[in-house]
Amino acid sequence: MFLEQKYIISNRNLACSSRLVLSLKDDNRNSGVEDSILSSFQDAVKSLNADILNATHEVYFTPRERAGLGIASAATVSNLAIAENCFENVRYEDINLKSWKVALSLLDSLPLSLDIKKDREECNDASLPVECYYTDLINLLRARIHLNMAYTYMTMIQKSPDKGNEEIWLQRSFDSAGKALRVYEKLVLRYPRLRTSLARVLGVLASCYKIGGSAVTAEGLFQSAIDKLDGDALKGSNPFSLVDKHGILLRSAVLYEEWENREGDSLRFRSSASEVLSQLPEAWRSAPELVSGLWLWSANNLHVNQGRSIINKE
Amino acid sequence: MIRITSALKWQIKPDLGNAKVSMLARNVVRGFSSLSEITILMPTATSLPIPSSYYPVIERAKELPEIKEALSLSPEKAIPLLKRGTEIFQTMVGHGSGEEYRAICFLLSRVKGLCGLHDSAVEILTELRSLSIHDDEYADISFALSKALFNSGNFVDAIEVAESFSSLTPEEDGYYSNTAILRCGSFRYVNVDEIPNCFLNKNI
Repeated sequence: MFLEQKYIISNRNLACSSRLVLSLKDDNRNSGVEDSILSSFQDAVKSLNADILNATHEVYFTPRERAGLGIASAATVSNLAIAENCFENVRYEDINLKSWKVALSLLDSLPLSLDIKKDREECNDASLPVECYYTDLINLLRARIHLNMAYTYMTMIQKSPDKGNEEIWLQRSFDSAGKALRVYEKLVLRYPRLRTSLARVLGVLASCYKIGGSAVTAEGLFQSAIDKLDGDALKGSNPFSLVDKHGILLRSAVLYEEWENREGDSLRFRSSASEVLSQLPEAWRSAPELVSGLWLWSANNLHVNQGRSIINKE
Repeated sequence: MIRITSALKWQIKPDLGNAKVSMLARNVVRGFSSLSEITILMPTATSLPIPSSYYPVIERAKELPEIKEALSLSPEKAIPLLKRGTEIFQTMVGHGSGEEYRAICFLLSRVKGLCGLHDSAVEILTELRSLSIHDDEYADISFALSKALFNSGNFVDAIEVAESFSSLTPEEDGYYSNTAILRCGSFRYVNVDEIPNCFLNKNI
């Protein structure tokens, strides 16, 4: 990918994501700002689209660059979907999940692996991404999107007055979370810091079980999710893991609230949630849990050294 | 005393040369030496991505015991050693054009970020950016800086830094945007739904 493009794509995504989180602070919310942020995400997607169209017929794009554009585009569309879901007053599936489905289709249309040898010959570049890492990257992004969808289905059940769809959404949430879980369980062995993403999946599954009436299973999954966000995972934290942990603790507290004679546990979890909240920078405290699904894509995600090193270590 | 010893050890091998650098780069490709090293060097969604040009420099800097040890520790424990490493490299004026100093400073900011010390990471990167000597390096550090600002909750500043590298319209000045436009051709409106069609033939 051209150096300049890499900067543009990475920085655009970051600028849009920053605008999104900033706008979610209570005192900044208004429809004008929301529209402007959605437009900036859409502009980023459109620009990538144009790049992709160019890449399909321009000879100076290597397969790696084209695939990189595809991944960047899917990540940007996924981030757009997060913005839509944060802003929309739940217009349900037609609107909210459409962008994620587009992102998934885009990932599905990418090649499963790159022909490294051909790429190397074409661009005379020894520092090429690793086939396995490229595949992992696609799977990770796909898992992230499934997880975001699972979370959204789960929250739709809680927000929607229409109980008719509850069973369908619950099943979809289970399905999507299951798909994400399979990827994370496999890849966490290779990339230890994925524990935080694994925790997020377990937290969503726990909520699904709670909605489905299996309180004991939900409790176990919540606990497992919280454990994964303890110690180094949280110490070596970014705001996303703290946001996740806060949300999971609060949902655990709600579980105990509805559980006979567990009010004490509920209070304990609420208190822990407040403690986690106090560790977040002030500007992050009003961020909804869904923002931790943002993928701050950078061209370094495709960088050779990290991926190959980790893969070869297995 | 340790500092002097380390510095001397480094000076015994003042210039590893290109051949050595490529050998070390291949070592990076072969594998990290520990899980801690993976934690410290591997990119994640919100960690600060290490500029690719710094990898061989970091690999070379491992000749310094402080750096080698730092990479075998947890991020929290690595901080004092990396700080000492930056001090050592700072005293070697002119050595490697300060490349090692800048790379280890970057690593220190990243590790601080991994420990949740985002404000400190911002501080280091702000200073480091002024020391960069290539456009690419400046842009890489700027991206890391905007990410650190994002992590620390300084969204307005994060937007400002990120947007200075994200312009796409010909009306806006700037080396990056103009070069991109020249190289990529005109940007056209395309419906979001049409994206996947570009890939359907799988010939990419």
